[in-house]
Amino acid sequence: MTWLLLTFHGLSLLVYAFVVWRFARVHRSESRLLDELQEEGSVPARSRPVLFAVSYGIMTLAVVVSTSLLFAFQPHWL
Amino acid sequence: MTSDARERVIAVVPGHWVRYVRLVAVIALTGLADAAVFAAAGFFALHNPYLANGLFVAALLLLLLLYHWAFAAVASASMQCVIVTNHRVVSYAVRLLFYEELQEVAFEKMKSVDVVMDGFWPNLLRYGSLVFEGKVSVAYVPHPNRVARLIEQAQGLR
Repeated sequence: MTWLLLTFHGLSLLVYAFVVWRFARVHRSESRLLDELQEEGSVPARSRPVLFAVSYGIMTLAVVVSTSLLFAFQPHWL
Repeated sequence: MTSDARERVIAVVPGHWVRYVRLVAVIALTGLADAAVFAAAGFFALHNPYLANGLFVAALLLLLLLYHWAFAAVASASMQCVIVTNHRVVSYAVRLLFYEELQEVAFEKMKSVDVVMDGFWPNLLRYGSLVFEGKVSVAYVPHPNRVARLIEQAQGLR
């Protein structure tokens, strides 16, 4: 069960990294599109990849910590 | 080159907030179901440890799928927008892990913009779809009549 939990956390972090990378890429292509249409800086930034990465990261950490605690305080699952 | 010949953005219209409602409802319901599976795992822990282990693993997997999907779906929905320039209308929609869709309708080809606000909720919450030339459709546009007027004004700015 411990290995399973570690695999779960590893998978979580991998998926997190992948989704953040995809979001940053899509955001870049959207910014490029707006830059093509208009000079840079004249359109307010609508997407916020940093905010997304931070809130998503906090949630990922919360899930990792809470499931670990849940697991740790149920010794009969070991 | 005259200033009108150069393309410039007139407006960037993000999608209506109602596009999050169904998403949030699905996330909340699935989250509750996941919490119930975790609770069931705890309930069976003393009497039937094998069942408890199975339920715990199932709850973990559901949680893994749910919250990663939730973040990806909300991020995708937040990127939907309609960009109106003095030359064309660009509709931008993204599903982070699946597709990136960019639909463009140039004013030269555009003769009509239809507004569809069909049903109780679209009329109450003021959202609807814009249909260009009966082919290209953009859903969840806030105040679509206002956006259609804006597009007609932009056509005049060409």
